Parts: sequence; C-alpha cells; structure tokens
Amino acid sequence: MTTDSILRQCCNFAASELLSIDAWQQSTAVLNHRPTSNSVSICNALLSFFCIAFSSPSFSETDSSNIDSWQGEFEDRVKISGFARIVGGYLDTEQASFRGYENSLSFNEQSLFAVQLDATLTDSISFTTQVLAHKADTRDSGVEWAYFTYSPNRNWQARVGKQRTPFYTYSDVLDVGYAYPYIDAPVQIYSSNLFTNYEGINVSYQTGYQDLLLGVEVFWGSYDDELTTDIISFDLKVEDLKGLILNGKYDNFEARIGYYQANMDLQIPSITELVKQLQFFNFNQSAASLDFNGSVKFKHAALSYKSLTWFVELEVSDLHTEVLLVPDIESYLLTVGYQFDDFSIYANVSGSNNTIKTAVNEIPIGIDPGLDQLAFAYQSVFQQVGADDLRSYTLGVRYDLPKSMALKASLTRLNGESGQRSFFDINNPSFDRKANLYQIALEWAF
Amino acid sequence: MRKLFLCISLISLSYFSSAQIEDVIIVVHKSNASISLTSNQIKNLYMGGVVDNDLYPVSLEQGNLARTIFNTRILGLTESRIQSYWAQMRFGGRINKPIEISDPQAMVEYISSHPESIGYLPEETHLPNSLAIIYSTSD
Repeated sequence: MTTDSILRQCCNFAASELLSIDAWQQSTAVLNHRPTSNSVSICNALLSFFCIAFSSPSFSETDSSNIDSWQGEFEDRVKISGFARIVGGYLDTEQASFRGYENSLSFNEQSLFAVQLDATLTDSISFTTQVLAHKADTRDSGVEWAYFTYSPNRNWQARVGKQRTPFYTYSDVLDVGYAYPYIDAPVQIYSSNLFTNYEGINVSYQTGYQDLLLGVEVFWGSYDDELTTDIISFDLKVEDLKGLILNGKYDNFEARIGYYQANMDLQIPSITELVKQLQFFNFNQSAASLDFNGSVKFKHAALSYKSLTWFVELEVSDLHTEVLLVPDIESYLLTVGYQFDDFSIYANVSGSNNTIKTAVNEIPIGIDPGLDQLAFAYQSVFQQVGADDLRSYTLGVRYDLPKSMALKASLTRLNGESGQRSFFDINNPSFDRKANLYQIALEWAF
Repeated sequence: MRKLFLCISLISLSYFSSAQIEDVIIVVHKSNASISLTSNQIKNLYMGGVVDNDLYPVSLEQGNLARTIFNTRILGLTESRIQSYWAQMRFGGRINKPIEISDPQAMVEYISSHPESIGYLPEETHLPNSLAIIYSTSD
C-alpha cells in the first residue's frame, strides 16, 4: 500500500516539532530510520495453539517403538521451506538517496533470509508461519506470518491470523524476489515495507467455468502499532481494514481488480498541539483540516499476459483519503518481457501522480502578529506535504539457474519532479530529482 | 573449433530427434474415462485452479522429458517460470504445487492406485487396462 508514503508524510510532520523550516532536514533523517513493528501478541497466541495442537495424544506417545512412526508422521505433517535474496544497489548521485541506496554499493538494503513452516494439523486445517531476517536497519526481523488455514475443499480457503496484505499482484510475496521479474518492484505501486501485514481474516473462493477460472477474495482486519523513530514515537491505528478482490484467468491472460478501505488514526503530538490552538481561536475548519483520522480508499487493477516467450504486466492503482495532509495518489506500471533459454529480459515504465490538497484559508493575516504566527504555522504544515511524483524506466535481465535460483541485474532511470520529494531522501535541495539506480541480485527459493 | 562445435550440435540434434518423444498423453484412472477436458482446463488444473471435477493433478519430476513437453505444449510456460509461479503461490500462502512422481512407470502405478488423480506420460507409454487417455498433444 502507499501507506509508506503516508508514513513518510507523517514522519515529516512528526519531525517538525517546532514547525520550523529546517524540519525538512530532520524529517529526511527520520525517514532513514523507518519505524519498526512490535506487534507479536497474536503470533504468540497462535504459536501456543500450534504447540498444543502438536502435543495431541499421538504425538505425546513415549513408547520407544512409536518413535519411528512419530518421526515419519512429523515429516509428513511439517514442511520447511524458505527463500533468500542478496541484493546490491548503487545510486549515481551524492545529492540524495533512494530506498536506502546511495552513492556507494550497498548490499544491506534488501538482502534477506526467511524460513517458512507449514504444518498440517488435520485434513483441512494447517498452520503457517514465516520468520524473516533482514539486514537493513529500516526494517525489523521477526515473524512475518502466523496464521491458520482452513480449506475444506479446493474451492474455499480461509486464513486467520497475522498475514500479508494482498493489495497488489506481488504484495504478499514482495520479499520473495524469486517469484517476480523485478529486483525492486516499482516503488510507485509497491512502495511499502511497513504495512505489509494485518491481523485478521481472509476468505477466498475459486471456481472454474469451462476454460475460465474465476476467484473472489475478501479480507477484514486491523493493524495497530507504535511507530518509533529516533526523534519521536507515535501510534498508528488502522482499523476496519477491508478488501475485495476479483480475479479471472483465461488462457494466457489474467485480470485482477481490488478495492480496499480502511480507517486510519494517527496521533502526532506537534500537530495535536497546533490543532488545540486553532480550536482555541475558533478556526475549526483549519483545525479539522489537520485531522489525521479518516478513511483511506484505494482501487487497483492488473492485467497480465504470460506465454512461453512473452510476458506483459500492467498495474494501475488509485488512492484517495479524507485526510487533507495526505495527497491522493495515482500510479501505474507497465512491463514487457521476452524469454529465451534461461534468460528473460524486460523493460518497465512506472509513474505516480500526487494531488496535494489545499489548505483552508480561514485565518486573517495582518491584523494581529499572534494570528500571523498561527497562520504561518498552519500554512507551513501544508507546505511540508511532500509529493512523490516519479517516472521511472527500468531495463532488467534475469538468468535462471538450477535449484530455484536466479541472477538478476537492472538499470533504473529515475525522473522525479523538481521541487518535490519524488521518493528520494534529498541531501541537497538543488538536486534535480534525476538519477540512475544500478542493481544486481541473487534470488533463491528452497 | 567452429567445426567441432558444429559436429557436437549435429550429434546432439540427431540424438534428440531419433531417441526422444515429442508428444504427451494425459491419463486418468479408467473409472474417470468419461471425463473430457480441454487443454486450457488441464493447464488450469495443473496451475492449482479449480476445474469442475475432482481430479488431483500429478506431475513428473524435473528432468523427465515428458515434463518439458507438457510444460511447453500444455502449460505454455518455461520450467523457470513455473518454479517462480509456485514460489509465489507457496510463499503467498495460496496453494501448493502438484505431487511429483519420479518417472513414467511410477506415474502409471500411482494413478492405478489413486483413481482421483490425473497425470501425463510420454505418448508411447504402454498403458495397463486401469488407465485411460483423455487428451493427447498429438491430436
């Protein structure tokens, strides 16, 4: 989800404790230390249940003659798999960084290792957990997934627990580089590493009609975390998160549309203080315009074609929120690839367009120095809304090795919008928002 | 050097064309002989989709030529793309790939004893009475 950009936005405001101009610099520093997640309560509960489930009579048998069959049964019931990636990147400018990549080769931003455990509890119930170790300091290592699956037949599947939000085509496998062509899935659509999880329920149904496959998926849940940065910590609550996804497959074509909605509640002390002052002077419209409570709605559509030689992927998304401090965002990606032998080459173009909402013009200026100051403080909050318009062009190659391994290399031309943030963390304000990102990767699934 | 390379490729080419199969048959247990499936439905079934019957797909392991032919002719995807797809499905918590069987002979035995399964075999495989062909890439 583009909550990454929401968060970046929030960090900007959070960092600007005094709403001073140099808050910009601080906020970019904050962004380099993205908040970490510590909501593991439900996982602990699930893990306890898992342990209990496995201490059922057939497993607690102590008779030594049963050990062999116990082992055999355990191996049948428990499957361990995993994935790993080593990703290196280099950005050819000193004036900014992009997704952590700077003007020196770094392997720390996206390299990771994960192990997944799938345990079959009964014929229709299984438990899955995924533990991930990450090298970047912008992200926490730990339990990414922990959920139960109930699947009475091949048509129905229900998952309950901590799971990944399936917003976009590759959202739930963003860490599994082996599963997709890109090294870094286009940031305009896949910009989040933060809100990849939710705790809740996901129900899907699929059926076939002649040559057509149809599926529908609904999910509902919440996300609640205390976000901690070097400078400040604040609460992000996402409640009543719900989504509906429809998909269809015919021959080499696949289409998917999704609609998602959530209520966001974010408390930022510096903003809350300003709201109080505005309310004190009865500038209620202005106060309301700084409210971080509100709904977020977004739509996504994807179309793909995959054959022996060619593949094409198109994704578009549209995000709209009631929160005036968060821009509305439209984004797209288009990829065309060609495969021969063990190689695939692709070209991608991606773009995003942000619409910044206008501030309320309620406070009279030039009457009272105190009011002028208040108006200035209010306006400066809006001036700090950073837009992320960015167009990027990527050329990439993937070479598949035996044993589910692949080597990738890519070159991305980043064309940002001058005066904007454009997904960069800018060190020098005169930076023209244009740079090249070079990346290489080794992907592995086991 | 170039001559040597040409020589090697000619030898391998002739080996490939004389000794190797080019088509696969899709087989089920004889109790399901009346089932008819299109190539797309077989593809959907093998990619984890639900087709309107209760057949469970069974694949040959990597390294079987029949698998390569099945991938190319029915699934329309390269082996690496199929592996990539299953990684997406498994680590996305969706569905698991079909059971894999070591070789054609083991496939024949497996389907004979598992009437609910569907498998593929090299075209010239000698079939016991317990199996029935429901599709062939040579048709």
